[in-house]
Amino acid sequence: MADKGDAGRGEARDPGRALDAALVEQAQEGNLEAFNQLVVRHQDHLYALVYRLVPDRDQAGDAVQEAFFSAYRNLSTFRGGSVRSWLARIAINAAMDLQRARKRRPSQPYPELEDESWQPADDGTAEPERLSLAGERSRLLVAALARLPAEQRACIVLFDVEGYDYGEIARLMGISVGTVKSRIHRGRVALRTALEPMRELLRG
Amino acid sequence: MDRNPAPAHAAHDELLLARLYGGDLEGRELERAREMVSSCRECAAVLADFEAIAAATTALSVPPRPRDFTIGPAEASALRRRGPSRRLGLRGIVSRLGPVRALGTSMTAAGIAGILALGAVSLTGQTATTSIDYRQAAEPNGQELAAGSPSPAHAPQDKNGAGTPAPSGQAAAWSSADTLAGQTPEPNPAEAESPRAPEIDDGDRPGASEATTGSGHSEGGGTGEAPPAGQAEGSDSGPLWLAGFGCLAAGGLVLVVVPTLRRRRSAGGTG
Repeated sequence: MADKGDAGRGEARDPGRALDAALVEQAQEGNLEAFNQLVVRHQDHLYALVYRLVPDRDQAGDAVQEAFFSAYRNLSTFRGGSVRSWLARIAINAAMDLQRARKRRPSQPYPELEDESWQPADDGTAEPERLSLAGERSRLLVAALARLPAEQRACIVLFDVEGYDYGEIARLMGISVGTVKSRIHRGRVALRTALEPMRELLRG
Repeated sequence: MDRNPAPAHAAHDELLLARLYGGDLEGRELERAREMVSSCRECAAVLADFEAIAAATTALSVPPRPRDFTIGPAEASALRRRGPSRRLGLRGIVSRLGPVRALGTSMTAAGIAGILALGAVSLTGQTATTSIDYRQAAEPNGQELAAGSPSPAHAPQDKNGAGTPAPSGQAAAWSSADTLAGQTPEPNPAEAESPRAPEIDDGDRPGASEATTGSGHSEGGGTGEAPPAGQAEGSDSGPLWLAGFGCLAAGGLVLVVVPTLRRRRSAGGTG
């Protein structure tokens, strides 16, 4: 079972906190190189996070770029704490803005759901059949996640994938802990219902 | 997988199981959920599904990052410039809508706001004009206003409350219709009981429609007083303003609609 709200699950995964703080300080003094070091340190994580919230490569890229622009513009508002969480909060906001914009134009489906142009990296050791199953599982899961309400999807991704606890998610998204729990639980039930016909594939 | 779960399981709450999986249960709820899992195979399978889905979500592969997100010096200097438009969020609107559509939206909004403001002004003017006309109609003969007159019991109160009657029609013209009615002689108690009497009477009175447009002031009472300057100007230039605001809104709509249609056509062409 999942851990019960152990404080700071996400924070615990933040080993380079001191380096981040030093880089932010330099960036606040106008050092663009320091800021770009921060970008390099966090861009993979932020892209992975946003991609799970907005399953569209291009739009996720745009959201991450906008998040870094926003972070640069608002460097002066950073008041300490985890840079990783600060950047994640900005990226989540950018992703949610994107979701809202998409909601206003629902005619555009997620192209990634039909896109088979990329596959998980093959390290050369995996069997073809296993790789194929993993790809299929990934595709089905992404499709099911994409059909969840954006808020539920965000909470599930932040909890299950990013490892944030309820309190951190509540702070990141500006909602109450009770709402976070409710969204996660309802999202789980909805995901399970959507994936029930593929139960064996998921367990494989 | 059993697609037709046991009837007992159908009554089991999956949300409770999700909360059990999240570790959010305690007391009786926790006992109940544990009981469900231990006694119902389907419930145990649901819990296992939650576990499998969470694991698969965690292991979900992410495509490679499409580009490098570092910021160049030119972008940095552009981001550092914080003009008033950025503070107001205007750049966000412009970047989201495009400059032409943003301009069109602004023009449409301004046009509609202008039309609404004109409507409000004309309504206010209409109310004031009706009051003036009502008073002017009543003063000379006191006949037409009988239905709007208060009961005798109300009359002294009104006189006290509103002070002495206005020495001239002009001075009293800007009082409320009720106050004006209170100054009317020869009240008719039976008819005056109805609080809506002035409105009914005003609608039936000859020349009322002209009065609402601000052109019939002398018809009812025949005092011959000129309407206030603002009203006269408003009635003359009102249609012009209306046309202007209408054109503004229409032009804005064109600027909004045309790029949207073009975009859809081009999207349809490429799709």
